[in-house]
Amino acid sequence: MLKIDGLVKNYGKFTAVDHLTLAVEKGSVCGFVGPNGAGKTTTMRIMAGLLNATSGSVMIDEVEVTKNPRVLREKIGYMPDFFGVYDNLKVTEYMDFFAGAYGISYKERGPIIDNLLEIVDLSHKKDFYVDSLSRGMKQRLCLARSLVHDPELLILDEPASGLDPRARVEIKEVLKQLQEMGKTIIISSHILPELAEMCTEICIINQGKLAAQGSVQEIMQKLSQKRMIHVQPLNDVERAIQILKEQPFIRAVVENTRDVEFEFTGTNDQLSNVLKQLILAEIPILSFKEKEGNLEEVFMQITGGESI
Amino acid sequence: MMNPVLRREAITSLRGWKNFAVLTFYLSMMTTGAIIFFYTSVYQSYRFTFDPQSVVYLYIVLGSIQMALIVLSVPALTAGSISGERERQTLDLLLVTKLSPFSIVIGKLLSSMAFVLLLIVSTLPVFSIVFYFGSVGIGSVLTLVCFTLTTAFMLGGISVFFSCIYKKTVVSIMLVYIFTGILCFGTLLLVLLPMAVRGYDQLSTISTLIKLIPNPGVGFFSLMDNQMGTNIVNDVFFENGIGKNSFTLWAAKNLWVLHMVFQLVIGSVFIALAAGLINPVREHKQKNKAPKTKK
Repeated sequence: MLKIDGLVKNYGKFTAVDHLTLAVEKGSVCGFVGPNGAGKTTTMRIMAGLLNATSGSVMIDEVEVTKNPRVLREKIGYMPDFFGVYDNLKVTEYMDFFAGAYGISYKERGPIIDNLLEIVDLSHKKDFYVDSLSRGMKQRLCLARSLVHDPELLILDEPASGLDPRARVEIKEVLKQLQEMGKTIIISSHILPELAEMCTEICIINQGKLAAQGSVQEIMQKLSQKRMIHVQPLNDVERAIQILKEQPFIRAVVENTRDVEFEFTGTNDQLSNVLKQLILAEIPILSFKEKEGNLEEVFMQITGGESI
Repeated sequence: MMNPVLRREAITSLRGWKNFAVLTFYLSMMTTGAIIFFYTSVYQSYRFTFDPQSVVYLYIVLGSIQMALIVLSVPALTAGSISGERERQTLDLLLVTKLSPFSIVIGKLLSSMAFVLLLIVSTLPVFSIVFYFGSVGIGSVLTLVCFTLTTAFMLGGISVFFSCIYKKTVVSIMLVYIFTGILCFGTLLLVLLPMAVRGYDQLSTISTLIKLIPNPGVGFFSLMDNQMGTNIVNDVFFENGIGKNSFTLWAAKNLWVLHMVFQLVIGSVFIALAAGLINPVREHKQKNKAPKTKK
């Protein structure tokens, strides 16, 4: 669906995007992660045809973005990180305006707008003025706007930024729905756990370069030699620790009150063997899982500790 | 299909109070002008009567007020068209649609022009006082409306252009007023200074003509000359000029025609430039010349 090859964007002497190369498959949800100034927004604006690259190419469905921006605008739905709304315009009029801007006929607009407002759960606000909506509602309306021409690719630049937890959950629900509809979504965010949950793959960008790409687990496995495993025996924690310490690739076994955590440096096969040894030793196991949620640690490791 | 930008502007502009305030101010100025004219005419006349023949001067007074108001209001109405979209952070949302930059600029300009037309049409009842007494035909009034609209078109085009360059609406408005000031007074100074230094009979007619064609004020009074059958502009600027030929003789008497053509050309050029300025593809052409990046 999307191929970026050797993308470079210079602002004078400053290089915002530095030979960025990546590919996103159709139907996938790709998370763009990186510290401030990493080049995420610049890359997304180039993808949307709002900015042109100094060199390199962005291909969407084998069509070069910079050479055919108008043709590609039919395929792309773009939601910027910061956007405003018009005064004195109602929700349906706002949607109608953008439907007109995408060349949709008057007859077709009504059902499309109703359907989109239903998806983003704003049907009950259709006769309200846009500037009277809450921040979360405006974000959802902007998302609906970006879908008005039924694009194949959605480019969403920090759609959940500045929203309260409830509004974030609502946006996430809409994105899940869009994912189920088969849309390819590229989304940038600073909220790493949320991205990890909803994205099929993650691209970590640092100083304009692609630092890592793959599924969350792939990235963590590739970049982190150690994996934290959490084990919760029903009882006999002491004996479980003893067995774990005898296994290869295990170090730093930490005992908690009712469970155990350890660092593991082996492969998945070797990890399954650890579980097998515990079961053979007749230790009842309630839970045996890899600890999640340390994506931020990996991120900090990749980006050299730059804050996000 | 109607230009979506024009449609949206039509909906939103009439919902706010600003345009109603502008319309009220505009009409009150025109009406006040007419009242003052009648008052002074009657007060200064013998036996406090009104001479119907003097109503042609009312036409000139109303036309002058209209021109002045258009020159003042068009930059204020149009100079925020694109910079306002930037300030509101809605320009990107427009640029990612299928609308071309030219459609966006034209939609913005037409919405301002539509409001200017509304202002002009709303003053027709005031102009109708002139029809009541006769002296001026409907053709003359329509020509004056066309002249005012071309002035609005040129100033609107220039305003949209500056609006594309500068992010702040205030800066755009200031620059349009400066530009208009140069057109109105700068060009006049370019003619009057050499006239004062070298004398009336030492100026080239063609040079004076070139300097005065961009001047909206001289263009307006040239039109008034034409409609009233007077020859004031020609007498002041061209009568004693040197290097006359059949074209300059015609042009001196019909400066307003050349001025309208000038306004249409300048307005169109600035609109085209404005469309180019907001077009992201334009940037592509520039950036291709950017220095090579480090490897």
